[in-house]
Amino acid sequence: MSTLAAAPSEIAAPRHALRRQRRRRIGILLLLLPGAGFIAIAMIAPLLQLALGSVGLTGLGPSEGFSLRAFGTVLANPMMRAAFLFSLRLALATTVLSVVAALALAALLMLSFPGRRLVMLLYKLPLVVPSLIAAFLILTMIGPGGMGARFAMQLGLGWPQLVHDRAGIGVILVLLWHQIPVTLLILLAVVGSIPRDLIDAARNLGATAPSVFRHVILPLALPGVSAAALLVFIDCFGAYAVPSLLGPAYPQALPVMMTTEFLERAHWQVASAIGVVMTITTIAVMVVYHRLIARADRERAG
Amino acid sequence: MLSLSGVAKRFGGEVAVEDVDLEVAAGEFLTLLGPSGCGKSTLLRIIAGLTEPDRGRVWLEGEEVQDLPAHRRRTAMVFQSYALFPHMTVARNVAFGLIMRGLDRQQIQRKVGDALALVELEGLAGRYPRELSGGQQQRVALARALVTEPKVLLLDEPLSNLDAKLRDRLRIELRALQRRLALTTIFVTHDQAEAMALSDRIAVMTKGRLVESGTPEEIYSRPKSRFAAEFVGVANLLPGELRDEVVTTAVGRFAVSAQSVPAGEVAICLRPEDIAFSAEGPGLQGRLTHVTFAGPFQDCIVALEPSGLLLRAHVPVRPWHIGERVAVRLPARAAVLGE
Repeated sequence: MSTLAAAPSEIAAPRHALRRQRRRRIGILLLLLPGAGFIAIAMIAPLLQLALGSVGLTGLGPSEGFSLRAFGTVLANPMMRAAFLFSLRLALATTVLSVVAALALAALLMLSFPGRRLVMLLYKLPLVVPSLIAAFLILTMIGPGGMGARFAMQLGLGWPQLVHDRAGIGVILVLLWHQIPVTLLILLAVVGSIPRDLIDAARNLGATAPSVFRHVILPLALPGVSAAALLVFIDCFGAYAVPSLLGPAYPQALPVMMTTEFLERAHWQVASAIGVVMTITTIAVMVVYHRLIARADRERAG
Repeated sequence: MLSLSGVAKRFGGEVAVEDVDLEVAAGEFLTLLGPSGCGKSTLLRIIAGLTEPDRGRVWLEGEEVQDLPAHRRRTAMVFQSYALFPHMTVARNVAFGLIMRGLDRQQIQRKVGDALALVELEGLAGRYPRELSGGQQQRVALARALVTEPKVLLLDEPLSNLDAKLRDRLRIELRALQRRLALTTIFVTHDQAEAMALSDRIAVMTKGRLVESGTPEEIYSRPKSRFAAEFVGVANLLPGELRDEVVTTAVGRFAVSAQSVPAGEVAICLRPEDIAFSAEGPGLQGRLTHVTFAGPFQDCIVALEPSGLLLRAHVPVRPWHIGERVAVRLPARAAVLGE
């Protein structure tokens, strides 16, 4: 009898526990809602919209049902391929040059010299000037009829085409103007976090200043350098304003093509497909980056 | 071997090192002892060339080096944090100084092997610093310093991050190694027991100044300054008046050796083990106010009567009790301290 009497309460207990657990889960979901909801609305929804729009399922404009035609158009069009390569080239060149320049500046700023504090202050200046304004500044300096060209004319010299040029030199210059300080800001923070004792130990063991930089500072700053490079690459690959202002008529940067398709031709699906190609490219770069970092970590761990 | 003359350094307005003169003989183990912030690490960094002195000169093996950059001084420093390069293996850490000096690969390999054998870490050459214990890291740092065959070895509190047992063992090993290699060594610590255990000579520092130096025995038994007497070991300081090599105090007269302390108001230093007492007998009368068991001895405080003067005494273990009356015997001689 006593075992039978005990049975209902034993069953009731797990039921209570289940209900409590369910209530707790709902509570957790409610707590997650502001953060997760923001990510869903601000990031996932547009990406989803982009992906669906690229295959004709939804989005702005008339829906024609599922089709991969837009991708066919993007991939088959030589102008699109040229635009893709142009954007890739802009991004890679800016990334490499920013990192090299920022590393050199970081090394220089580790030395003490008169005017160092002024340099530390001035290098941040481009960060507060929007790149569109920088584009106009560069245009007045290196554009045809700009300061450089007029000065060269005074000397009876010619002036190369540096804006609207096919190599994108003008675009790269403006991107560098903005990206070098960004990269330097990150690098200085990373270099600043390297314990002073390590640098002193290297000097004490006979390392000259360049050797300290090469053997101690650079390897320890490498994770920061690669993270900065990734950010610069993604930013420049998706750059629209500067390439549209200073870039050549052909090839155009991919975001410029995308905008043309979207705003001038109302080819929503093609514009979405370009967007998808760009997103996949940046995701691929990030995946490669994380693989390389993970491999480096594994190698370091032996 | 190494000498400093009039070395001074300020950081902002703060004095770090003030007019330090110091001579270190070849093969000597000298300890810079003092509380934190007394300037001992700054002095070590000045010797290494990692900090530039505002004034003063530094000679190393007869060569004036105060303007020589750190990488050309041939000093080797072991840091409190060990400062091992985290991205390099143990072997590569140890090889670093040799690579910087341009030795060939074979020489480097041989020397790194020898250095790791010296600190008994042969099996760990391929490990990274984070895979080592604190004691092992400390040995790697030592091997990395020794392998460069420095003119002087500089140790900046290298044992302070280790637990007490390991610290004690490494102390003995470090001293044995230094003797075997006859390496001129300057060791910085705030731990007086460590200084006593390791050094040929101790230089006591406070507020950027070198107050006195001597063998551990001299510093302990015959300190010349109040600061050294109180900083090294436990000291009973009694005020008195010095006249004709005798100091008269409230608890009696003490003979002192002829020292450079001028006659007049002075203090004498009695170490706790200089003081003895018995349950009854002649001498000063007192009452025990504190008794603790300290292993080989008992640590007691006696309040003298009627003056109420407190004396710290280390006496052989016996069941003494708080409140017990005792007869105190003081030595006939004591160290006299100037200001």
